[in-house]
Amino acid sequence: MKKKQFLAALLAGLMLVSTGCGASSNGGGSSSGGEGSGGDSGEITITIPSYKTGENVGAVFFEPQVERFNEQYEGTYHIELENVTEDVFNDQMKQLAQQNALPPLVQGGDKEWLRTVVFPNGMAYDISDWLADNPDIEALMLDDAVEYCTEDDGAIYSVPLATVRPTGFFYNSAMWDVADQDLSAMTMDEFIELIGDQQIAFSTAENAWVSALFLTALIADEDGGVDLLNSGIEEKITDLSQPQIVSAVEKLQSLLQNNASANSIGAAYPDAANAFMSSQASIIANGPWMSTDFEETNSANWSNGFDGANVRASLFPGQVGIAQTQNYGEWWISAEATEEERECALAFIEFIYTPEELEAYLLAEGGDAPNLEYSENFVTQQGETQVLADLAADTTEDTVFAPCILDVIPSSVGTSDLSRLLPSLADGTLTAEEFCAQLTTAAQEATAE
Amino acid sequence: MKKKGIKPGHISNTHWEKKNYKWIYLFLLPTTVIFLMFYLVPIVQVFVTSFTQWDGFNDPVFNGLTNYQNLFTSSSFLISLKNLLLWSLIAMFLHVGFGTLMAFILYQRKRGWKVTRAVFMIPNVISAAAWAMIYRFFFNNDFGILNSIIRKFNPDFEVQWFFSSPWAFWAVTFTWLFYAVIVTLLVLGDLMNIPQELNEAAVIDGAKGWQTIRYIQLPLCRNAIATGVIASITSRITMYEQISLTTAGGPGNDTMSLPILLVNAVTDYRYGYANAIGVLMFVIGLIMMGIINKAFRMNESDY
Repeated sequence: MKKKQFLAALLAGLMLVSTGCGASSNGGGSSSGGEGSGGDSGEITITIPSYKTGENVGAVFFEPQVERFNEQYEGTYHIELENVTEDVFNDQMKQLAQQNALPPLVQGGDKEWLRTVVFPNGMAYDISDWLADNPDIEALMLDDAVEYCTEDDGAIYSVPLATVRPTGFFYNSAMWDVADQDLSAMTMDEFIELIGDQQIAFSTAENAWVSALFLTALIADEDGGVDLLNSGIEEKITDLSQPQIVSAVEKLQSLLQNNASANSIGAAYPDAANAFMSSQASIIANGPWMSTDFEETNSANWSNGFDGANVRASLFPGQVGIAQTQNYGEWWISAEATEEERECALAFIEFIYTPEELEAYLLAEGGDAPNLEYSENFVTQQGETQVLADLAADTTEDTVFAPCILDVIPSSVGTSDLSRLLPSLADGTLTAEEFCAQLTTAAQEATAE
Repeated sequence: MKKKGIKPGHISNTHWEKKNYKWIYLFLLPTTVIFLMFYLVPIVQVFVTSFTQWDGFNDPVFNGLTNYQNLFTSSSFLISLKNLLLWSLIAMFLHVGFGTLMAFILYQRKRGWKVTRAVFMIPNVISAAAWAMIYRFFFNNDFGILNSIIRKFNPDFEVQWFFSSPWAFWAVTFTWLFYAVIVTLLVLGDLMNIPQELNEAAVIDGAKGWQTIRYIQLPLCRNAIATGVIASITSRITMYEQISLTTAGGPGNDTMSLPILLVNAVTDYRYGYANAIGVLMFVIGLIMMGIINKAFRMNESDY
């Protein structure tokens, strides 16, 4: 009997201890937060969670870039990447912040979270002194970006961008032979007329990314449309029944009803891309990073005679490029980082802002670095990638930059309400006015105090 | 010496219970600790912060009933309540009804009943998210099985099941309607526990097959059916993946649900509002359980 009692007590004790241990290990685990170490060799190593890893399209350039950094600073600094899915990346950063377990170097994060939580609460390291000590780097940064990233007290937490990647659209010149025309110089009405019965790859699921890009371009084409979009950078737009938006939605509805590829309704971005790369649609709106999909190395994703060599690119009519220069940059440093970790993080930022790395980035993902004097080699190489050359040719002083509609409306309206309502707009259940009225209601509810 | 008026067995039981109290408490301790840490504290936090304006990071600011007022004036919320009511009724009558019917069929122990039970179980080991994706293909207008079959008879048939009214509601309903294996197992368990004497007595009294089911077996499965109703209705209250991965609540608000609204509120950093939705889900769940408990007289013993 005594033995049985002892055994029972032991088991109960074990259950209790294992509960405690489980809780302890859960709470104490910080590996995902990234950590820095000096190591015996004196090499400073930091681990940073990144979504630009594995199968993510951004990994094609970013992972080799980190490898180049590690090679260049071998024995001094080393960066380990931790794979985090893009879908959950922002949420994971927030969770790590709540646990005071942020990595030393943080890649992006939700803009609203950075603006209202991270920076006001001293969770980021002020790099203004470092920038002042590195005027060459500061000179490369976009003026708008530096201004936006500079807080009222002069502190700079987010590393301002040096590049801008205006988003336009791609078209298959084998299906739509307009390569001899300057599409971005047209008016939107001329462009829509020119489209005729060509099929456009739209997406309406998830955040309706491709449709949202077209909607942005259509709004930007309206009188006062660009100003309206820009007004949403500081304060989210909650009145989506403004005349510019209603008029743009009317045109979008017409495009959805007359030109949308067969799988557009309910399509997520991969479905839209698939429609384009299987010759079911001749036009798709997307950023220059899609250029890698048209390289021969990715031809396994092509079908129905699609050939990436036939793809051309253009900014939207009215010389509209969708990009937000008044924005936070990609990187910031945690205030909790040790001096060694900070040293490594700053060395990495310095590395990625060297002219060579910026040019490599532009060649891989497209875009423009207005304050960088390009090397001859870069110009030659850029010309070899047709779509990047097209976009570079379209990006001039006259280019009108406008932020994407998804960035200037409340998050949930962009990620949920827009995609919920687009099918009803496409099948005519909702008129443009009703669609806008419902979005307005959703936006106002989403921002109610 | 025995105390007057108390049965010997009762003394023995009480004595045994008292002697083992410490062991009962000791074994309850881990569960209690886990409940307090991972359930009670968060639930209390959800209730408290539902009366605040809170972005999830900065300190919550008390705002009284504002979140609840905003909720009850939101058309999306009211539609999601209507949808919940409809789905609950469908769950109670069709989903549980189908599960119960399956249990009675299996109870007949016809040839192959064990295989049938195993096959019926299979959908339950596939996650709701995976089912949602399967159904996206099933209901796809271009290459989905359903429309392909319909087009054999009507070549012009075009319906975007998940993206047009009123079909989206029924398409979402279809993703869970017939997966009632939990109900089936619960009812089948009760059926198998019915003493054979009762069935035999009914037969001796002249009861035919349907009468035995109607007057003997069905009433004796009351508790299992009620448990099935509770399980299926609470699943409807928390139903998220099936909607999020198919219609995201659309088209319009046709398939809007409370969890979708909750997640949207979190996306907008409105944790106070999101928690108000959470509180209402909790309260609705409790009310449903109370009603079903009463309606099915779950506290009354049958044997």
